[in-house]
Amino acid sequence: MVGSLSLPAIRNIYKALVGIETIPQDKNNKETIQKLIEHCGVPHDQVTELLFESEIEKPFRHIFLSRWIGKFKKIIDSKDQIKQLQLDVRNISGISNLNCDYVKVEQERVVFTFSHDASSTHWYWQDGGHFPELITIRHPIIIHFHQNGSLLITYPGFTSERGKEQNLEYYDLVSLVLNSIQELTSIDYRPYAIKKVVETLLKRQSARVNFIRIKSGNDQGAVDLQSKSNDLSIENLLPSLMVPYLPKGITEEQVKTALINAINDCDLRYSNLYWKEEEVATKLSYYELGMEFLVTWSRQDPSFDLITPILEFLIFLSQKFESSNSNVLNFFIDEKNSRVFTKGEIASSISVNSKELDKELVGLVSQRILETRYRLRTNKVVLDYENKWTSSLLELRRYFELEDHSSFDGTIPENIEIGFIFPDVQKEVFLES
Amino acid sequence: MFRKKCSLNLKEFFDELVELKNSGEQAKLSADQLEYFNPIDRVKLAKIKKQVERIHALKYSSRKKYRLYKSKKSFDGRRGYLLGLVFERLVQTIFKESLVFSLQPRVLLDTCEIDFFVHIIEPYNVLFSLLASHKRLHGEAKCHARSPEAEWVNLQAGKMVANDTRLGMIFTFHKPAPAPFEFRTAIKDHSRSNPPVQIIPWGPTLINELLDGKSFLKLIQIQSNLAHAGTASMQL
Repeated sequence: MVGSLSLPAIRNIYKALVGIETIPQDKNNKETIQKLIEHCGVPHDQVTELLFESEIEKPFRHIFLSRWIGKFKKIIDSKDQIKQLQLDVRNISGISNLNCDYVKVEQERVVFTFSHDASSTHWYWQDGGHFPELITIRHPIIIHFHQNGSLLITYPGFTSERGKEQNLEYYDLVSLVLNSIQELTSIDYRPYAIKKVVETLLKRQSARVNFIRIKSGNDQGAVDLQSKSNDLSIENLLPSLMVPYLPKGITEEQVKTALINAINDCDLRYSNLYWKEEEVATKLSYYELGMEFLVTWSRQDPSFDLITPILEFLIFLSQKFESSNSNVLNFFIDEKNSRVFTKGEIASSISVNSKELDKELVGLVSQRILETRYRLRTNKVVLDYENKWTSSLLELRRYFELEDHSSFDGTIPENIEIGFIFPDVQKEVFLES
Repeated sequence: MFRKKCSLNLKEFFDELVELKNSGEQAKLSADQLEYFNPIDRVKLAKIKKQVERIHALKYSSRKKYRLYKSKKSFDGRRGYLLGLVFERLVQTIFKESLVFSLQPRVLLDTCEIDFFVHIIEPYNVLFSLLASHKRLHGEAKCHARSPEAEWVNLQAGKMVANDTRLGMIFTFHKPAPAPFEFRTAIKDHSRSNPPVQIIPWGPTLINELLDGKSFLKLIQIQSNLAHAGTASMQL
């Protein structure tokens, strides 16, 4: 267990128990905790409690996302029964039973830590070469039931069979635990419509993510497309490769559209997405009970702060797709021409009251689903500026001269009009005022 | 007229964001909106920064031909006065056109003098997690060539507790470098004391980042996180 904790987590535990943060330089994590137990007179239970607490605050490489439906109180009431669960996972991947080690009940979430022993291949370096060694590790599976209905399961995974990951078995483990909890609490699981969200992001060429690998296919076969760089999305890569070989009359844009439609019409097996803002790559796999993210924490430290905005973004969009009331988002999706819309134009197309529309629009902008564009809020001709929609708000933060030679103050927020655009448009969009 | 009636203006949009935030939802601002809340005249800032650097580099000459001041002491006094004056202008440039800050330089209280007393303007402060629970910010300017000291932090924290202010900034100007261990440890300790006092160190590295086009509000948020954690990667 100590092995899976980060150094800052160990430092925090050390500080909580001993009062100082600097841990001895010559000790590794395991020795540090051992020393605490043996020499500092800290009770074993107290150390274990702190270790479990630290463990649940960090996501592992695998994050399984689903949604639970039922009463939150029911989960809290059944926590003692869940804690006594002992699941036989020896035929799946473990070498011991899957037990519940720790339960934490908070106001907005309940966390269960399950774990089992598994045999994993550890690669060690000796005499100029890497050699495999079979070792037994503790494999934790941490389940977060959030009050808002989201269900997060995170686990580190382990290597076996000479480094080949057994991806399929993780889902077997997860489904086994979830089904056992379902029997005790009578809650139900309903996954979010993330697959549809991902397909839409691809279709609209979202500015938020790059698709760096896609495997899509049907009964007859599958196509695996991969981009070498995180900055180059698949839908831009392939058409650009094909440009020299295209017959006359077929444009790159047409090939791009055909490719996206073909991918979406087939079954999307899995996709690798690179989230530009968070600088995190995620491999998405879809299952009956939910979807699994395999997160590559290459440039960032694993933290829920980093992954939560991505999950919230996907959940928000999927809920919007499911909800029949999300007229505003449907308006933008159905609109073929990508252009800037004012609140008035949207209001005239859908039946929603002004206040609700404001709220919906601001929510969509805040979730980075819509983008904003700005222009001066005047009907008069501006002499020293072409009053088109712009993405640069700072461009407008000055004084302008109007046709009647009066001054117009762009530093006052009331003097700036705001428009909305679906963010899949990469280039600057202007609309004639 | 149609446009005015049916369109959403920026103020209404920001008000709606504040309402969204107050209702417990996430309300994120884009980079240009962040910059709009605290715009910075970068040309002016670069010019003043150069002036500070030039004054810093001035050296006393004992040669009669170049001697403007009778003694090194009077030269140092004059240089210190000028440095303070120009550095104050540099800090004022950062806050000057802000929609969330209102700066008052050199505020004299009964017990002490505050270099910069910054009012945090409501209601837009709720959009920034760092400023959401604060009404004022206590700024101290330390324009010394030597590296920052823990003593400065302790002194400022004492003043802040006395004035019931929980958010502060220390503006330093020296060679860009990582924050010294004692300095960042002092900041971290005060942020975890009772009452917690959050001090954000601000140095030439961050001024350079501002000049590179980064948003001030975003930079102080990142710097406050680093200061709270006391990490060694915190640059000044």
